[in-house]
Amino acid sequence: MTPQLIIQALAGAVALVEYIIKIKNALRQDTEWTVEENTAWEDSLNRLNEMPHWKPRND
Amino acid sequence: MKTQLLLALSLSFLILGCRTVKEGNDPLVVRTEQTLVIARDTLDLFLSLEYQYHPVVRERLPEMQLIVQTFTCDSNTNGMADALDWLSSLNSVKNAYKNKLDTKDNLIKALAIVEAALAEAQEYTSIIERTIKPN
Repeated sequence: MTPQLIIQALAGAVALVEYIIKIKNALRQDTEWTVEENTAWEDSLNRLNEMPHWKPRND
Repeated sequence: MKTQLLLALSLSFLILGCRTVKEGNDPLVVRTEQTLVIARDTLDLFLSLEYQYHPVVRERLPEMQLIVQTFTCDSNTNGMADALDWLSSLNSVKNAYKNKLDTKDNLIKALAIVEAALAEAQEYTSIIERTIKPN
């Protein structure tokens, strides 16, 4: 088994794992937010509101 | 070989294109929450880009200032930018609808406001990226 063949086999294995992860994610069914997810989302709005690009422009 | 490849591709599209809502979850609520996340991130991207290239945008695309003003002004004087207020209101209506304290019609109306803002932000982001942002 040459080093080139080993690298190709490893690359193939990585691609296969990535593909399996993609399929697994795709098969996951969508659900409503939990209370924690809802709170985290509201917090994210408050954080954005403090950022300079969310303020009215000065000119 | 070609047939196997086509079969694999068809199977991938079939699997990847068929996300469903888990039983017991309201599809309208799930869709609203997905829209909330996409709208928040898209509005943030648009305002961030406009802020970064503001002097050039103001000079070359002056009409864009009106929409930036609409998104960032605090017309309710509650300390929150209006576009963030729309997102927060939609989330509140969604939660009220989930708890049977508000109607489906009101949720759809609030969703339409956010979807309109999302469409504008997508359009203007694309304009900045095409005409102003260096490659």
